[in-house]
Amino acid sequence: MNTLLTWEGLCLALLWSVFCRSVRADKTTKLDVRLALLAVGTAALAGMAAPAYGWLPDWVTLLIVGAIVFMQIVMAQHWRHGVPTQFVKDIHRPKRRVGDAS
Amino acid sequence: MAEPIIQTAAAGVSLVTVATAVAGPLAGPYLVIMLGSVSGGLWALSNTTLTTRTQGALLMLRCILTAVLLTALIAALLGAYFKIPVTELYGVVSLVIGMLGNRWQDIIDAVRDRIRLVISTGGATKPETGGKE
Repeated sequence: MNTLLTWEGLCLALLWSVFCRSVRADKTTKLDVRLALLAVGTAALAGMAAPAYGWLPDWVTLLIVGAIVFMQIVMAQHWRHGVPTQFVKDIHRPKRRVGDAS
Repeated sequence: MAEPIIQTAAAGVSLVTVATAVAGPLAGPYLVIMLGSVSGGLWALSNTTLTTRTQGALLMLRCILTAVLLTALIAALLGAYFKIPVTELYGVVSLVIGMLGNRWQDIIDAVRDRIRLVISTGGATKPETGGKE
């Protein structure tokens, strides 16, 4: 039961991290970044639903997803002022974010 | 004397059992539609310029509600046309509906233009050439 709750919590955290980044993203964001966000979000949703179909996570899976969630939390600081400059399409890059060099 | 706690627990368990038995088969398709629409909504979210999370949440809610309303209808139409079991289309259809996000106006405009074209040409697929061969 604890494993299941931990798993659902981790998947929810992963989905929330994708949601927050997707709110910041728009058409000026690179396509591969948006596809990556979609892939991670879909994986988190699939993970949340999988126990309903009889699948249960083991501790290795929990460890991996936990590490990914931790990484998302650490990397969130780069999204604080919007999409990181490296993830913006080249034609939209100048002056896109507050504090960016023009 | 009766023990109310045990009776309440038994009633609770039986309620859950009955609810699961009744709602379980109905919940499956809705779960698939929900997952598909949230997944598609994430794409719509990353494609739209938003300033706050509240706006994002409202967009997601719109995607999910639209998918819940339209998926069964569209899947039934597509299933009848392509001879595919309807339940197998729920995921894909809800995903596409979610991905559309705020672009329904474009689709409605395209359908309206198409209908106008069909009406103005009298059902002909190509515009008339005026008899020039």
